[in-house]
Amino acid sequence: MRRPTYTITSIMKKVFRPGERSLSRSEVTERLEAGLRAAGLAEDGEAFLAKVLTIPNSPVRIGRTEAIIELVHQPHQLFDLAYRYLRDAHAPKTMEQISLELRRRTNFSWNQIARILILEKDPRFVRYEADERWFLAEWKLANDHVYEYLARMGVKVLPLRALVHTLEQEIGLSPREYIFLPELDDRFQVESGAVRIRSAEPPVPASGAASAAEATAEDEAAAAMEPPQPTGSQLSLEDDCVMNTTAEKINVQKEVDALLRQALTLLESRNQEMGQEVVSHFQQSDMQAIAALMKEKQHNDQVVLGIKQVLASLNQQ
Amino acid sequence: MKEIMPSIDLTQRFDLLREIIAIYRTRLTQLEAKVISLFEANELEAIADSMREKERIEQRIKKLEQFVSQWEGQGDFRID
Repeated sequence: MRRPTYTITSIMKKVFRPGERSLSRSEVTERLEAGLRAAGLAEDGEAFLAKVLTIPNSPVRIGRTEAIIELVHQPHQLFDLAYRYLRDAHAPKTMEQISLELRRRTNFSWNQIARILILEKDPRFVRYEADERWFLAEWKLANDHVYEYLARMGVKVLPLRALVHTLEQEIGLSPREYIFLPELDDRFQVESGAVRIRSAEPPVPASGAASAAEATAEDEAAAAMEPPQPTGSQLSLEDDCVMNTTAEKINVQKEVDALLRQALTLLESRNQEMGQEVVSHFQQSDMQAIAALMKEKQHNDQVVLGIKQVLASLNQQ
Repeated sequence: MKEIMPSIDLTQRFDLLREIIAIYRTRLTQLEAKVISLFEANELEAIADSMREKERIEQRIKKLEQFVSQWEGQGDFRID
C-alpha cells in the first residue's frame, strides 16, 4: 500500500499554518500527531519533533524557551521567486530546474543560489518520499478523489489527456489547488498516456469501505490541520471534450446559479453594513455622505433585482 | 395634602433636569433607529428632517448640561 507520503521535514512544515512563525511545543506535537495519523504513521509527536530538530537544515528550531518551537526560515527574494515559479508552472520541479530558472531571472551565481536557497527551511515547499521534486505546501493531493471517482464509475483507464477535465468537471476539484501523483501511489499504474487502476479486485465492496475509512481519516486530518495534498504533474495537459455534454450543461448551470446567489449574499451583507455607516454619518450630521450611500444602495437594489430576474429565468429553463 | 405640595420639588430640580436630558438622549437613539428604516425606504428628505431634529436636541442637551453644571455647584442658592 504505497501512497504519496511527505518527507519528515515536510510533515513538520505542514504543522505551521500560513502566517504562523512559532507555536508552543504542545500545540506542535498535537498537530504533528494528527498529521502523522493522516499519513498512516504511528509515531509519537514528541519523538518525531525531537528527531526533526536534530536534522541538518531542519525547518524548525527551539525558540527562546524549550516550550516554543519556531520556524527557521528567513525571507529572501530567491525563495519568493522559486515559490512563484512553482505556482505559475503549477507543477513540481527539481532543485536543478528551480536553480536554472533562478539563474535565468536573477544575477545570483550557481554557488549563491545553492548556498541561499535551502528549500528544506521554507515552509511553503514540501517534498514526498521517493520523489526528487519540490511541491508547494498549499497544493492538495487528488489521488484519493481520483481513485474513488474511477472506482465508483467503474473506469479502469483514464487517458491523461482527459485528466484536467475529469478533475475539474467530474470530480469538482480546482486544477489550481490539486495535484495528482499516480506515480507514487500503488493504486495507480501509469502507462503511455493513461492512468490505470491497478487493484484487480472489485472496487465496490472492499475498497469502497477502505476509501470511506480513508475519507474519514482525511476529514479528521483536514479538520485538524488542513493537510495539503500534492496533485498531478500532468495537469498542464490540454483538455479534451469527451465528456457527456448534458452533465456539463447541468454542472455549468449549477455553478452559475451558485455564483449568482453568492453575489446576492454579498450585496445583502453590504446593505447591512450601510445601515451602520448611515448611523455614524447621522451622528456626525453628514448629510452628503448619507445621500451618497443612498445612491449606492439604490444602485445595489437594482443589481439585486436584475440578478433575481436572471435567476428566475435560469430556473425556468 | 397633595394640593399644598408644589408640583416641583425644588430640592430635586437638578435631578429633574438630568432626567429630561436622559429622555432627550433616548430620543436621539430612537432617531438613529428611525434613520436606518428611513434609509431602507429611500426617504432622503425625512432623513434630513430627522437630522435637523437631532441637531436641535443636541443643542438643547448642551445648554441644559451647561445650566446644571453652572448652578448646581453653588449651594448658596439652594432653598433647603
